[in-house]
Amino acid sequence: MTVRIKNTDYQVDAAFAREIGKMCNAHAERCYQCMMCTAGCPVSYAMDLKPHQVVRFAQMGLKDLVLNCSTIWLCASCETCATRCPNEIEIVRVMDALRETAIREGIEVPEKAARAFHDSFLKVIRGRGRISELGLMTRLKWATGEMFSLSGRALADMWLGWRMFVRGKLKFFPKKTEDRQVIERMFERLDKETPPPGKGAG
Amino acid sequence: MKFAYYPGCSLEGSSLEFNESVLAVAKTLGIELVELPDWNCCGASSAHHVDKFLSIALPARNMAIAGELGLDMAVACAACFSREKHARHELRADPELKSRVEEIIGKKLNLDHQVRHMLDVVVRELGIERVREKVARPLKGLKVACYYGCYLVRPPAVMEFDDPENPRIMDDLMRALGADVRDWSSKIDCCGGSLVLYRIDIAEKLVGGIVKDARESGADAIVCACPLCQSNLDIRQRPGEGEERMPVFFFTELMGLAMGLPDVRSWLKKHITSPLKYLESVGLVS
Repeated sequence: MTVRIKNTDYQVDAAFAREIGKMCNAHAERCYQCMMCTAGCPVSYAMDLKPHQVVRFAQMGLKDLVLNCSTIWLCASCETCATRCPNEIEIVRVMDALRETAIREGIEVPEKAARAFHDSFLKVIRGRGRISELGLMTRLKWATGEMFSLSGRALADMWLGWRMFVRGKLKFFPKKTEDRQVIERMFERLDKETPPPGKGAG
Repeated sequence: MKFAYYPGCSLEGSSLEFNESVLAVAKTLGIELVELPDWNCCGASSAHHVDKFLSIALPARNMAIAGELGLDMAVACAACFSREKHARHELRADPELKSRVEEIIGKKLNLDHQVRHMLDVVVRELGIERVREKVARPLKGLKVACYYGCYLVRPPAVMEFDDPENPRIMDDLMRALGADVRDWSSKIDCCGGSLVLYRIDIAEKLVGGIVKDARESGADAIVCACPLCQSNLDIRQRPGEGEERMPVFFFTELMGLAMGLPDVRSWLKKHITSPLKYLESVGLVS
């Protein structure tokens, strides 16, 4: 079965809807489209699908639509939607489950910098057990190709980095977690379930 | 009163003045903080974006270490607090998940131990009266808007912190310090969090709205309990014509100021938006 939205036909995948439901146990089936989530969302203005649409399309199993939207990458996880939802749907858990699935299926992410950020963040944790902010920034700049950029934004970032550095806020060698074997075990488990990050992910 | 203290990564770097002020204030108030031995990153904004199990296993290891110490955990960073509470919530509801996590972290989890935020420890565990006793120099003339952001209060069933739409715990604390606390409507709005690192346009828009609203409430400064909120507001605000940049404090810095602690100036010097000129103008630092 297909559903036509804005002149495009989307396949209905009931198994996908069930799978997402099982992953997040967020009770998306209760949604009656009051749009409270979208009304309160601070980022909805920048999303291609609004939060209430993501919930509805996930409910319907419109896999292609919800796994490719920018919404799941722009959600700030601020939990305003879930806090105000009259049906107590945990919408942020729906977003998490969709993102996790999009990554596992190797879908090309519309918000490349967001993906690069999360991959960089996790790589730093995997290596050190803790975040090195300087290490994170360097990885991220590298992954987004801004490492040697001289744009106004890049220069402003460098100036800010310097100001943080002289205040002692960016350290070259911040402390690590000693027991990194246990951290590595967590990530090895993740490797088994997730294909390696795609292009531009650092 | 003794807690296993979890500072988190930001407090060892970009928000080190938060860490220094937490430790100094706790010492003055007689709250003993034992830093969690060999703690790890909670996974913060990224782990739950990528893998649910990882987002639970990372914070779970910290809880297991606190359990080994036999202590409740006190967390300074609101983002870490949120991830630890989320993990605890999921683990308590799912024994099968708990045993899988225990296997991977190689430690047993005792989930009877609580996870508390420093604000909660100071106001509810210690009590506001004990704080008031230590006030040496009331923050008279300091007009502040207390900013809670997202992580402390939402989702309420997980965070168990305060009224999710109108939290007041920090307002009460600031009032006890003698500050003029303004009522405003952006106290639980989102600052954009880590979006600042990949969609700065969105973060700047959200920060702009919050700072504008604080100004309109008559506040001269914002008080935070989260390093992400503090650094976003401190760094990413863009004052309009004729407007001064607005100082953004950690609640513990203002506690230290009111208690007359010696290191306050060194904490405040680490801000990108220096609050010193403003504090001089209201006669709170010389």
